[in-house]
Amino acid sequence: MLATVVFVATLFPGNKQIQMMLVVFGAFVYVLWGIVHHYINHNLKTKIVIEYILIGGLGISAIFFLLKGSGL
Amino acid sequence: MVGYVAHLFFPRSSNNYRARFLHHTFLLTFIFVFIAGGFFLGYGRTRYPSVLGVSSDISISQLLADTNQKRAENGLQPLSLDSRLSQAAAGKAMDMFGGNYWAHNSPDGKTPWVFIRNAGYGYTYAGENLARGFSSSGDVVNAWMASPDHRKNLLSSNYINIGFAVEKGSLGGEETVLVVQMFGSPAGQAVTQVDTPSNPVPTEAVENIVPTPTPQNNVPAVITEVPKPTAVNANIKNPQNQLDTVIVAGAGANPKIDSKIVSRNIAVIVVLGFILIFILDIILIEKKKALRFVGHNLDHVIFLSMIIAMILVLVSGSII
Repeated sequence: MLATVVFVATLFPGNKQIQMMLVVFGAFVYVLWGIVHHYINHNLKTKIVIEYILIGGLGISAIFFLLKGSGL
Repeated sequence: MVGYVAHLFFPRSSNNYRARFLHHTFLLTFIFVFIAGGFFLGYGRTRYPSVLGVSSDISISQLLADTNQKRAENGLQPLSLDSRLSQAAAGKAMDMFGGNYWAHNSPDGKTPWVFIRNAGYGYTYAGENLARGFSSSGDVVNAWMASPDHRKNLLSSNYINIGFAVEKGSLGGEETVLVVQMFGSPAGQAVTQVDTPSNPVPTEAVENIVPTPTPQNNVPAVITEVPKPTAVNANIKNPQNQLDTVIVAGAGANPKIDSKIVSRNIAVIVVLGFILIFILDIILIEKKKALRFVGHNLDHVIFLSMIIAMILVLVSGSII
């Protein structure tokens, strides 16, 4: 799924808005996947959900830093 | 000191068997640092463009050399630089920045041939390749060669002349470097290239146009500089053995620090750092068999790898 996000991003060269939206979508899918995975394994905790959200946020903020900092 | 570094990077008893960098407070700190850093760099680019901005190592002479090298490798005659085609290319680049569009045809219907004709170049065949966001001449030409339609233009035996423009500006809110490549063969001049078919030559043949991309919603332009054409020495000798001068639309000097490279490198290094810490965590915790309630490190590694891939996609140039 995440590889698909990257592939779709290459189909919109130069369109940073769409590419940023794809990153946010990918992060959302990743957090959702983590929650579902841990729920199925019966070890879902608030701490784990926060961890997935923070890692997703880290990824989005890295892309934001790149776009804002380089004027892309 | 060593102990503190180990506390930051490795799972041990002092950090509850989870590297300190992976604790929620540190992750949140990095998120804020990235956001603040983005605004800081963005402000620096706007306020001090001569220090921080987009730079490129693209030159007309190198573009010409690379293009003719590709043609030579395919058994074709080299193209000669024509200042009228370069002027047409400069006009096209200025029009794209002024009109905030990225396409072969402008939103108001101007085709590339309008620029060529207005530059005083009557043509039998003409063509255009466009590129943006690249850092070097070699990357631009390689990207064109990798695309069948652009490659067809570059390797066409119908062309005799070529012109270039390399222009920096803001397009759709993005600071970028545009490269316009125009091809032509003068009207009334026989094309004596290899493999030319002996068919009657039409007066306004349009050769190998790359289809215009699907129109996108125009983002209101924030044009920070209006390109002004300047005559620069292209460092190439014309048939009269004089150094040719081409019109380059306000390319300007490169800033001291390339903000694109700096921000890309920082983002990649930090994200790679986290990937390595997660991998270390996987290896060491498997060894210690410590029981923890944490997310799956492999999921995090995969997601962050996607982020690195996205970073590389975002900084890559594009062609039409």
